Amino acid sequence: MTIATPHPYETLKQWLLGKAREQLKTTDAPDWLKGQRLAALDVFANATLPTRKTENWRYTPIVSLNSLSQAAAGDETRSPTESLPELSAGPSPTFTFIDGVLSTTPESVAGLTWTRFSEASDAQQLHITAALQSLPPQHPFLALNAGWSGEGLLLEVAPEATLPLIQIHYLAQTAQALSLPRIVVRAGRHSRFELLEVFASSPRADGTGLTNHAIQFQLANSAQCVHTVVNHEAPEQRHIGFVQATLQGHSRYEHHAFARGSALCRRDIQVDLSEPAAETRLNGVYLLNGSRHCDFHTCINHQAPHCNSEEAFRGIIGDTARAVFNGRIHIYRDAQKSNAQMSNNNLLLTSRAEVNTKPELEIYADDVKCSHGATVGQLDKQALYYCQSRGIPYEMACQLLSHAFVNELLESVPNGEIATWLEALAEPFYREAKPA
Amino acid sequence: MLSIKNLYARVEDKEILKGLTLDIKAGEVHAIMGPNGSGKSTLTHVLTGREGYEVTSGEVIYEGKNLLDMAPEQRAQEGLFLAFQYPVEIPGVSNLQFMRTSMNSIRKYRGQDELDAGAFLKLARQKIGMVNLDPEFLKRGVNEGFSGGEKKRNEIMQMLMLEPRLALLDETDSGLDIDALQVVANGVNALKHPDRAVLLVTHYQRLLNYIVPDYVHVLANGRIVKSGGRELALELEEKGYGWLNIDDSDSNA
Repeated sequence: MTIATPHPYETLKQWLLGKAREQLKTTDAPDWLKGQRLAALDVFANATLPTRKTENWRYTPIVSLNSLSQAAAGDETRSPTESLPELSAGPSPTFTFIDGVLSTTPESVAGLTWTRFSEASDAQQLHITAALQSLPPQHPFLALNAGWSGEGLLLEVAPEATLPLIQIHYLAQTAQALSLPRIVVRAGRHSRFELLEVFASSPRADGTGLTNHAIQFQLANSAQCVHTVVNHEAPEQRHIGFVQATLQGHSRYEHHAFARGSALCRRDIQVDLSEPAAETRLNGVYLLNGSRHCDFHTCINHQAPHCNSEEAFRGIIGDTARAVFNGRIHIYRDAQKSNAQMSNNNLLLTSRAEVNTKPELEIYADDVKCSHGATVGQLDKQALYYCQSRGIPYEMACQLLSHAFVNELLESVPNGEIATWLEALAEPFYREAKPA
Repeated sequence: MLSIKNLYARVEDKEILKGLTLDIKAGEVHAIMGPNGSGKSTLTHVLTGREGYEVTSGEVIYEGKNLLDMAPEQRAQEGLFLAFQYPVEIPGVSNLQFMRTSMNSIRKYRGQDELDAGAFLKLARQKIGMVNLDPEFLKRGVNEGFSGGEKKRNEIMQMLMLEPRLALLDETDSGLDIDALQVVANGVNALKHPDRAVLLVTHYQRLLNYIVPDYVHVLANGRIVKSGGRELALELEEKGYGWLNIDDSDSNA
């Protein structure tokens, strides 16, 4: 006789499900949307939350989510959050979500329409439905996000339009808040736009809940998108995010991630190069200290021939922090003349810092150029000595070399103001993280 | 200015310097020559405080202070400079940023104000011109992708900017063509001053045609075995090291 052991996160799942259903009951959503939400919740109800035995969550335990249901609001220990330096990017249309609720929207922007899911027209409903249903079933949190009745936002970029920098800010303000925003972006042919998403905790430092965010892009022929995502949240915040982009012919999607990590910080990035000559570039920088955690799982699907992908993630890990990088490149059988490059470089500052990095290549076409590399190292002793021999104190030399390690990627952000701003965001890390 | 007394030092378990004694006064140019493996480079790294170079006995007094007690950066802040035999590449840190950090660290130590960006840039452009390098090199990563000769010129450029009181040049002449050699020599000669001193470590006499030393020393088996004037270098050039009856038994052991 065997006794079934209850799944370790069954209580958590039921609690999240209960919250989601409660929300759904009290929200005034149109029937089509409610139907979609319910279906997604069914997927979540039948899913198994990941444990250490789940391969693609092996190094990212979700145990810290348990305290969401256990702790009464406000009784967690919190660290003061540094307020974000100002981004001087000139006037830039900005959407703000507070605790997952869309609270401010910009004035009208030429070439951009934005619509709440609940106010979508019939045609828009079809797009939203398709987006919500395109869930990778192995990701239960994406199902939870789709089933959550918080705000959904559809952004539509008109064909040929060139937009100013668009920003979406997500602020975690209330303790234990559950924020599950969903964004769907549809970009018309030959459009060009730049989107900056910033996740931050309120300077009042109550932001220790869960952000479960998902954004999907549909790029029509020759559309070009530069997407920068900044995680700058309280160390106790839990963040599970998902980015997906589908690229039509000759379109380009560029992603720049900047993450300081938190108790749990996980982002999946999936790019589907679905038509010939589509192109993507994924760059990421993670700077982790304390006991912060950060996990990037990326997947680039070369589904059509003549597509290019370039990917570079770099991280510095100090104290007892831990980073995970899993980069998957999947080249389909018909995707001849694919060009794919991937690299992941890590700098460990202490003996207790940890990184788990893994490239995953699946190649079914025979005429492709594909390269990948991963490194894990420490600050170069020779370079440190060279700096010291020029009068630069040891600690400053460490900062200089840490800075150099990731700066190339920060400088590659095409918008100069954002690049400078990211360097400012990184600055406190270099001061705090000490080699040991 | 610098007084080395009976210095013993080892790298890992191997004793390299074995009782080295040397005095350098302000205004002087000294050259240290010697066969490979005699301890020339070790001496420069011991003086600048490189990790792994352990002094087992003896003393080094620099400007009345115990040099061996100082961290490497403090030695530089006190006016010591080493032009590296193999300058290190630091991708991602521009030459300009590197030199600015260096100069301002040194100025801060000396209680001086930081140089403002404009004044610094002007100085950097002037000094890089003195070593015939394109100012574009200031924007490139430190030594990143530089040729051997460009790296050596860059070392001299740094030296000219920092204006050290005691400059050590570790085989700065090796691998240089005549033009580059001339540039290096001009740099060193420009630095000459009654308050400053220069210690050249070199394998060949060639550099000494351009930088005239006041003293030439032969280093062998970790000790100075012969000292003389400029003529000693010429004699070494002609006869090699054999006539000095250097006992090679240790280095061959």
